[in-house]
Amino acid sequence: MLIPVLAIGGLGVLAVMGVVAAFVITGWIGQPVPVLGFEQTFDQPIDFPHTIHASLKQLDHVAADGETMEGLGLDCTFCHRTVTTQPNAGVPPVGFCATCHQVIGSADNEQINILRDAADIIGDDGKEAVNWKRVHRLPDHVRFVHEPHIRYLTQNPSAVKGTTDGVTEGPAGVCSTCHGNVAAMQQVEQVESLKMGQCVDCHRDNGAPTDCVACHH
Amino acid sequence: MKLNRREFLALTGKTAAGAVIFAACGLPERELIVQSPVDLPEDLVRGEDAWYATSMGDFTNGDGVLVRVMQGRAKKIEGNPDHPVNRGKATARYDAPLQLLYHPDRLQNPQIRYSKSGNAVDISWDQASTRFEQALKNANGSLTVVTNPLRGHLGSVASKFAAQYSGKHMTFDSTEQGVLHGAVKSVFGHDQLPTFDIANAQTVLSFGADWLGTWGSPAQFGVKYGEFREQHDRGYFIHAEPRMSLTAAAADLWLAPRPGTEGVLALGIARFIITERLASQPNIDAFNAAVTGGLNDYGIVDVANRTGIHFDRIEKAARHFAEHTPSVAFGGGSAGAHTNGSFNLGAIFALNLLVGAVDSKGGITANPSSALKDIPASATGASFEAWEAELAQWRAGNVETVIIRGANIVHGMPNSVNVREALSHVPNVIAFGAVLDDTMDVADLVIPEQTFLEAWNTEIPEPGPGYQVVGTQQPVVGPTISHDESGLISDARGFGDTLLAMSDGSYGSSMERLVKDSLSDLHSTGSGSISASNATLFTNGALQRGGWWDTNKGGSSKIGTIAGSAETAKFSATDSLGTGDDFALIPFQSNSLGDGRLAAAPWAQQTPDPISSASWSTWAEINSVQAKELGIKEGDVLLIRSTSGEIEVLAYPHPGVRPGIIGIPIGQGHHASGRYAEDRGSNVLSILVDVKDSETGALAWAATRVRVQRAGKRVKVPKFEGNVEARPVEPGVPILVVGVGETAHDAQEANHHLYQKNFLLEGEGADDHE
Repeated sequence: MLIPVLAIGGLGVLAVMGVVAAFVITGWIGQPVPVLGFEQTFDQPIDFPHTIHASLKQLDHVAADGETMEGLGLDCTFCHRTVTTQPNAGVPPVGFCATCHQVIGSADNEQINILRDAADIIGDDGKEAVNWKRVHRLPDHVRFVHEPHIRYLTQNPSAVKGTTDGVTEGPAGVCSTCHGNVAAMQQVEQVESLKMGQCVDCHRDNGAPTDCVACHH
Repeated sequence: MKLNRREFLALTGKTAAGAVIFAACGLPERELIVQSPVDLPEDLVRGEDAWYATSMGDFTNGDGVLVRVMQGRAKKIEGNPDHPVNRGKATARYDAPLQLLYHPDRLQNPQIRYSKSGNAVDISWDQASTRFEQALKNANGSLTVVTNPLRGHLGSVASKFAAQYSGKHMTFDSTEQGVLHGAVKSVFGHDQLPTFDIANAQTVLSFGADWLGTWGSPAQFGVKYGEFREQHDRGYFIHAEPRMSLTAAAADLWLAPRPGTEGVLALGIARFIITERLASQPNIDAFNAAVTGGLNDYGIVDVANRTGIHFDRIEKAARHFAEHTPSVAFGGGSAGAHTNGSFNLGAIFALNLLVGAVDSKGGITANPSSALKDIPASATGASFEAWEAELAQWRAGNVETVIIRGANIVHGMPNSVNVREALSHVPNVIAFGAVLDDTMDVADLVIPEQTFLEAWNTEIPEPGPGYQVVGTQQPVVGPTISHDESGLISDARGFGDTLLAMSDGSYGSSMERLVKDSLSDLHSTGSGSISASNATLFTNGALQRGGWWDTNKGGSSKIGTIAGSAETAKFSATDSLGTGDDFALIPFQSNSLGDGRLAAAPWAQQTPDPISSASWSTWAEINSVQAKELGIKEGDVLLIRSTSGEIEVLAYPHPGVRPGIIGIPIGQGHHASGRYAEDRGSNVLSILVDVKDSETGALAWAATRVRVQRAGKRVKVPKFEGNVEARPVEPGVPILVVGVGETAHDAQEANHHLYQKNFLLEGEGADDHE
């Protein structure tokens, strides 16, 4: 089989195969190289900047009035309300976002207006949901529950990894362990591999159960 | 780089394969969507459920239930483990009322019909109240309040409301239990139905009553039956009923007597026991005192001829009943629905005297009177005779206003009495309900009523567990916002609260107040299941547990005599009914639809019948051998004709029916009952003939003879049975044979493979198995 392949393309084909193999192996071990749609982020229906909402630092953005902006510094749990009690962190309903954005944000801000339209503040097509694209996704055979992880890390700050530009106290201070510095991300991307090896390493380091049914149940 | 044709094709193929592989590595987009819904109530965010204890009076005989409520919506109804009647267990009917609560055809607003033949139009509650007040204005002395048999506060309010206007409170039950109540009263002196201590009995002998499926309190009896079968020797259960009901299917010995001969069978058993000296002399004396007519005519051969049951089987039943005590005998259902119904049930209940089963462990236990003053603990439908008299008053124009709730009298009474026509003579027909039914469809004023999940009440279960119980019913959900958020799904109000709002206020201001005041009264007695330092804590405790009960407050019996001298059942005539074959019609309650009150709920519709596995339709059980003789095949449309009318049903030939009997489920054939039930199946109640029990005047609903003719059409019976071919382990060999005195576990332990081998080679092992 190999001989005809080499006969067609010679070393060039071998090089291509090497690149493909490297790509697959990289993806298998950690994260695939961010090319050809394998980036660890997505364009979302609304360009929601976590920086403005979560960061406590001076931002690169410039507000409509020309002023430089400082992050609002919202606690992560302000929007992801179920993260301390439920398996899923949860995303806020449109109505919740509209609580502020009914008045906050320029009236000609296109991105905020997508939200206002969905909440039926502007437009006349009624209320509609917003379908975000999930950036952090585990396989179907893994049952990840946020609540015990948040609780453990909140009680054991030494186990927390990474840093955040946002709130560092309480549950919000532990998210960086798996999600990186989201408060500094204009567009959220996955920075950790979130592969089984990473889970098992962390469980082993912290004395958490490593038997299969801990996650596969 | 020069490519020849072959290289070009090879590269194209590889590129395409690579593209497919890379695309396949990606995720489908739907897997990645995480949605921000439009609005989110706070409790959805928390995702926590709440369980509320309440009582289900309208669809059971007062079972205690727990309702799971999430985001303000009722999601699931389970048995309440604390409740002494059903002890956490449920029946097939429990879940369906949720679909009445959220029914797409639920009445949203009050409706008025300006003329008897006009269409109903929506009106406001203010307009409805004004119309209601006008209807009551001239109704003094000419008001009738019609309800289903109601115990607890709702029954009390309905009676007092009728009394306030010098009117009547008439109760309606399509499968009348008045004969049963009468027999219990005459034999045992009980005002309430007794409880049957099945759990502690060694032998259970029942007649006509499908107590594991539909009769009395199936959840309570089911729990007891489980305990009965957990005894070391599994107990022994004998059931006599012309058709194989769920209960008959569970029996160790099923007897299928000719309809109406159940009393004869009971006295035949009694005579055998006495002749063979299988009972003690004091018990025989007690029996003879109750059965004043004597037993001269009940020799076992004669009884075998009259009942159509071989005398060996009668003897076997009698020996088991007398020799394996404690024993309990009871009857109801079709056994009491004959012209000699009172005699049948009296004779059946008197059997308990022969084995000393009254007020003893494993026998009949009396239930006490109500723990609450003026609150009824027992209820049954008014007799058909009383109903005929009442309908005559309506026709004569002597009744100004009829208020109807929970009683679908248009659907539930035979065509021959023409309730629809009688109602047309009543100027003001006011009907309450959640989803339109046949009776509400002819009402002048239709009032949307809250379901039991939204209203306050108390429910005293009947039969109770042998001591005082007051079950509480509380609203477990509030009004539901409609899907388009334009208003409520139903602007319904409670029946009790609506009557109280129209009353003079002398017997209460609201159902909630009445219930809470009664619980305070119970607190002041200082007894029962709840101890609390003050009435508020006591009330909360009762509502949390689903009620209050006092195991120390039992009832007592006062032995009388059996009522009813009419020993022979009479049946309606069929001479004038044209061509066809004559059958005795045995209507039976649907396991899930009841008498039709749950027909609007699709869950109830799709619940398969436990015997035929049919659903969504009306079928007729007919003996399979007889069907073959008559050339009737499954699915043949049969015309069932009586002097009251004709219906069409689908034939279901089945070995578990006595020849000459046709069994048809009650519950379908509604002209109005929401989108899932309208014009579905046939209403067997409509063709019943108005023959009555000679003692009580109750409708003898199993005494109709019909003429059956094939309509020349065939429709597939919607059923599960037979859709998947059964595969025995070895052809002709039962999977497990359980002998008398052996538990299923014992038989299993004894290595059933070896058992099967013995069974095949020696033909032994089945002798004791019926």
